[in-house]
Amino acid sequence: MNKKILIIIIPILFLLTGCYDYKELNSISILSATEINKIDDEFIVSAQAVNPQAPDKTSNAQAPFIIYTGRGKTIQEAYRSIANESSKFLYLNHIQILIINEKIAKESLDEIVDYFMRSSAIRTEFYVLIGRDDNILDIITPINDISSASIKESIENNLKYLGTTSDITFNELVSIMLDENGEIVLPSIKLINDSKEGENIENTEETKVNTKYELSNLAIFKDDKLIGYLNEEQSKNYNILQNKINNTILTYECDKDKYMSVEIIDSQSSIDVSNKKANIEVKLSGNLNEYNCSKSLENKKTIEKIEKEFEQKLTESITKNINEVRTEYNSDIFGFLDNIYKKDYKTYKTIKNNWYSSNYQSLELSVKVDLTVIAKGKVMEAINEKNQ
Amino acid sequence: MINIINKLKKETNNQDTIIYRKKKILFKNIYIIFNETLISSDTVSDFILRSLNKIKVPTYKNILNKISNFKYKEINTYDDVSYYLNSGFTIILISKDKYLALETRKNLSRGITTPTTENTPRGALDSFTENIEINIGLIKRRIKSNDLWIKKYRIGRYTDTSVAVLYINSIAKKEIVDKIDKLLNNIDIDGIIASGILRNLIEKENKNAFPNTISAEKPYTAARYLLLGNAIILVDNDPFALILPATLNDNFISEEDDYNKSINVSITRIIRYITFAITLLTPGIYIALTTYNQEIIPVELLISIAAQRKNVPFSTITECIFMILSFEILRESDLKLPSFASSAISIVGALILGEAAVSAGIVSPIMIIVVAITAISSLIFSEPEFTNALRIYRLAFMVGGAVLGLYGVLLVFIFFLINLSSYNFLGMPYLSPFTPPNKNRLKDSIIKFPTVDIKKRNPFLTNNITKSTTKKPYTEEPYE
Repeated sequence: MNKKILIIIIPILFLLTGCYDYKELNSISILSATEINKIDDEFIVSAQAVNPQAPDKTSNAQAPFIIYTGRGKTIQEAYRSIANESSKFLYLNHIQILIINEKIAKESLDEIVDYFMRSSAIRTEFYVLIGRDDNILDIITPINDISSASIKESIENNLKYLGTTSDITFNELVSIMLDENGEIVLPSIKLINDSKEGENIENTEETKVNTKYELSNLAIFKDDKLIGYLNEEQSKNYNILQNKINNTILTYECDKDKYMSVEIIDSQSSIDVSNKKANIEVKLSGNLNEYNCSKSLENKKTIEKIEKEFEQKLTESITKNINEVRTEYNSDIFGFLDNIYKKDYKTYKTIKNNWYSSNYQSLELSVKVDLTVIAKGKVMEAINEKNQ
Repeated sequence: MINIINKLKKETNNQDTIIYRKKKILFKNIYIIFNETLISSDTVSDFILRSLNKIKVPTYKNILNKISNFKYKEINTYDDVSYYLNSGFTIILISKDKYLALETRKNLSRGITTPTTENTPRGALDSFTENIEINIGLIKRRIKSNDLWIKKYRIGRYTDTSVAVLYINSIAKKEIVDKIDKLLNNIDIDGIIASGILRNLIEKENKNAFPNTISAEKPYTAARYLLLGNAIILVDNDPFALILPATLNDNFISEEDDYNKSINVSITRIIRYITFAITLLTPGIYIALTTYNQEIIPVELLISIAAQRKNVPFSTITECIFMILSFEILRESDLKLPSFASSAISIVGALILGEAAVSAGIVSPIMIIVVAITAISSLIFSEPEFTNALRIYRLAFMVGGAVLGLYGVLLVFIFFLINLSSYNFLGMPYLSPFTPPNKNRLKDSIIKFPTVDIKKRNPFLTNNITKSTTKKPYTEEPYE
């Protein structure tokens, strides 16, 4: 009896397997990134295929990656049309970044999200960026040969030390899109000195690389359509409010033409919207890294004063930025509505319909910043002050 | 008496290795028979013949009194005569039904030497020899108790080999001893010339590729397991003792562990278990990852592997089987060759399998790394049968990986676990103490607890559970 059951079960175990797709590494072409553009109702996809080379074979080196371009009425059709020029199966599973051209973003992200969500063979943990120029992936980058890997590391690096960009993965993008209260904010990227030479390996042979990419400021959306870009200050403050800052530098003028910098090493913020008033609390702590002002730091009160000044200036800056976003774009990227939705569903229901027409604009702001300077270095006063 | 001599002559085709001497004392003939290939002629002439010369009246009692050999047997049948004659005894036929067998054995075995298969940096350096009496002595020296019981058997139609079962009576479970007794009594075979033959006869040989016994070359190991309740089988003319029943975990325990602190031993054991996993799974998982589940490999690594595999014309499984086969051939030839030639083998192996195969584009460098780590890991187990068994399962994992990817590896792994956990030998589950879980014995498995804390034996081996009641060393007052 038992044996009969086994005889039935064992073949089933082998037959009912999910994805049976045997592919040797020799037969696939690993895509590391892809870029989607749209010209005249036709999608144009560029796929960056890594060209694996043995590390020691320096003679007659080939390009580190190949860009395949395809066009089609749908994205799938565009990708498949690449088969005409590629000798291997395009393996999309390892893409690390997806660059969506701003032209598409201004119209709609729907087709792209639909394709990547529907395709079972694609992992959705790649970063999504808005491309402000065409053919960003084509350029060869120094140090890291493959531009997509370089871009990915740049994003991570920026978030670690500067905090003006954002690391939205495709998964997160989709969840924001499905969330009716959220508005999309995506990092953007552009090219500097866009030229044909950027696609040549010689591009990296000079110390000053001519053609290169640059992470640009955050792109903001309303109703899933790109409507504009934040500036650097706004990007940084947006990240502070979204708790996305690991480490950043805040610089302020203390005397005339004299500046000081605080390296923020810990930042926590909270938004609480109630009674048509948004209470924003930001707690920062940091190190005084650069100080060129006249007051000596020996006195503890000076530091308290500096903290006060900082807090006040950051408060002003945040308030100003929120107001700018409100008046200029009228997009709730800071998530005030979502906050109401989570805390007070009754109020949410009453105000959700005319949120953008009245409530968002009339929302009162109360920003509270608390900064603690932990370390100030071993120098008590600014060097130039002593020399005088 | 003459009958016996005639029968013996007829049965042995009157070989000239068997010497018959007639001696006449006081009108009475007594016969002295021995096999000259087995006896020490000094002993025979010094002790037997000289003593016989002093005897006036050849009665049985007189002879027994005069003869100074300390080991003798009184026998009276033809069968005994022939057995003792073939065992190196000298037989004196005194009267019609009274014979005397005197031990005059030549020393045909080598001395006690250092072990060759179980190397440990520390530990006793004596090893078993081919002589079963010496072997029993080596164990008895370590366990002086009267409780060390020895049951002797004679197995083999032609070889008539002595086989001894040793166990500590108050520890070993009676059922296990009885089962061994039954198994040994059931054996009817031409000959037992190696302990391995005996092992295969009593084990269910092909149910589990892993060995259910451990062959120990060191009396130390034998004594160690005796104290835990295992039984030991010694086979004459074989320098390996069989420890039974053994579990999977026993293969991960080394004599060296007894010399080290438990915390250090724990790390070593963890490494051994990791090694076990590496040697079993690496080729299978590698094949699965590179042919089915590429999405799991980090992209930099994937690109590097792809670059290495770019010019290899074979599929990954072919490449892998080819390399593993080459390694097995190397290992096999290395075992057979005398040690002076093994360096030649290693040069050829390293050059052909390493450098040349890669530069010829037959295999990828990463495959060499995979096979090398697999091969090295398989060699850490002292029991060769264990290493051999790993090959079968490794191949199963490879095929599973090549047919169904990681899913296949997982399937094979499930079958592997079912196979191992469903097996038991002499009532001892093969995966004990992991399953069925035994809290006390788990203290001496992957992690070794301090020796004072290991107080219990395995209930599958013994009814006498408590092993030690040593108290913890007293805690010193804190230094002020």
